[in-house]
Amino acid sequence: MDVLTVEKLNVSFRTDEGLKHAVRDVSFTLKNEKLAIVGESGSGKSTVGKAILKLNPSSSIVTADKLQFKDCNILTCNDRQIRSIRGQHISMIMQDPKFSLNPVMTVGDQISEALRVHQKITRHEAKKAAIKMLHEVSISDPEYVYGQYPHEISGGMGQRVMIAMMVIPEPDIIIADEPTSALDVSVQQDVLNILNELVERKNISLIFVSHDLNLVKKFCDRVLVMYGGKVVESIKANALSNATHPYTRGLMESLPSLKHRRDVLPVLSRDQQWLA
Amino acid sequence: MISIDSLSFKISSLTKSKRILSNINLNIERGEAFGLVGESGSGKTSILKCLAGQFQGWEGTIHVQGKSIAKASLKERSNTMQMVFQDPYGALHPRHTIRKILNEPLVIKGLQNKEERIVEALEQVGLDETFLSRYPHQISGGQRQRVAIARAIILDPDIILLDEPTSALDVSVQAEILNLLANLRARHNLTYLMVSHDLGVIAHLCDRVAVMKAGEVVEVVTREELMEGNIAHPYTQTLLQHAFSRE
Repeated sequence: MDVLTVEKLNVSFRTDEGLKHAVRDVSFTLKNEKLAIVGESGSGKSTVGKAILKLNPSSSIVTADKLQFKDCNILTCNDRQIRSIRGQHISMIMQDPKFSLNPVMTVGDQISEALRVHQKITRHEAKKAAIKMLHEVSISDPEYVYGQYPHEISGGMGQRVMIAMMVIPEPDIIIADEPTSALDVSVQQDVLNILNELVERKNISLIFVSHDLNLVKKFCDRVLVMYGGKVVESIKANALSNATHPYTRGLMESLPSLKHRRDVLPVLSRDQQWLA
Repeated sequence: MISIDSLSFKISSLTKSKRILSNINLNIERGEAFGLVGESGSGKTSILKCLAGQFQGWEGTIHVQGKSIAKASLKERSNTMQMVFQDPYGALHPRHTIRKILNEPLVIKGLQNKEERIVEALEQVGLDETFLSRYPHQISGGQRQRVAIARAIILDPDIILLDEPTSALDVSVQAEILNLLANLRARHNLTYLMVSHDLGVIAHLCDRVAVMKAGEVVEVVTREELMEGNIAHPYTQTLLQHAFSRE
């Protein structure tokens, strides 16, 4: 079943130099799967993620033939309607927990707030659910961590708190915008395992925005490769090594490898035709 | 070229003191590219900062080209060593043009033929004169890192300290910068001391690597040993496993 359908999504930004076309004719459908959107910085991958939740700034112009979440047309949603979708049905994990958690609120209160905004439950019940959720994201002493502030916990823990906060209302879709790129390699794997386990157990569809091709190759089911605001290739993640588009191939080849060292790394040569 | 003997460093406040580095011993040869890997907080950048003079009050001895750097003035130090930072946007003055950024070290040293040197340094890193009048925000991330590298080589140092020089860049741009660094090293016979958390990047550029954990060097291995998996310490094995599983 299609959870989300996007057809010919276009996003432009009003700037001093005129309109900047950031996303061009992006179409995809999201089933119950882990879909990756990869590309370089400026390719429009985050903008697509934000457009789904109407989080782009008011200077942006978003148009689409279709932007359908289940029975709801996101394009025509008013502010109140989109607020009821955000968090409860579609939630978003941001890149850096340091900047995305509220610094003057304990992490536990932030998690239970995520629940209390959408459900009619008591403070006490919400606290219990939040502690259980902290436990589920493998935080060893949930009661203690509940009362800590974001600056008192490490980056990896912060990202797990953020995952807890986004998963607790049991949404249908999670959009994860580079959820692990601010973390150490060793911690990265733990956080990904937790995210993976939760989305599979709770049947959540995942949109995983990343610049890390090696990571999405392992972690996701399907990959959309974006260049200059366009989707240039849509491919199964495990077939990424056999990608046909020269841009995807170029990205894959420019990675330094431990197994096969080359004296000079191949450099991507860009082609205007890719945007045609 | 660089020899570090029993280097220790701790930061103390009124209530507690925290050991950042303990008993580091490293020897880096002339013309070598030496890597430091480890997770955040393991002390890899701290070693660079001790060398660059950004940290004072460390214990032990550091000799560069046979001279103790504790006795060298900052000016002497900057003649032999220059540093390239992780975030090229934070490392370049936002209200200075590229010309001014590259001019500054020459003025401090009182060097002549400034314009020629600036243009030459830019050409070395693959940029041209048209960039001179631009500001850092008007160029791309990769170009900014090129400018930061140009600023490091403009004084013709022997050693360049590289603190995660490509981790803020896209993979395609990372490849360009890594190639540039390899070229410059061959051309000028430079010695590199590079910090990175990415074993792939380290193995690409460096001949030898020190693996760090909690302020200590647990193991020093060559590139070949690393690529063959011929390593002793369990922590290095974990790091290597992570790196291999990602490829």
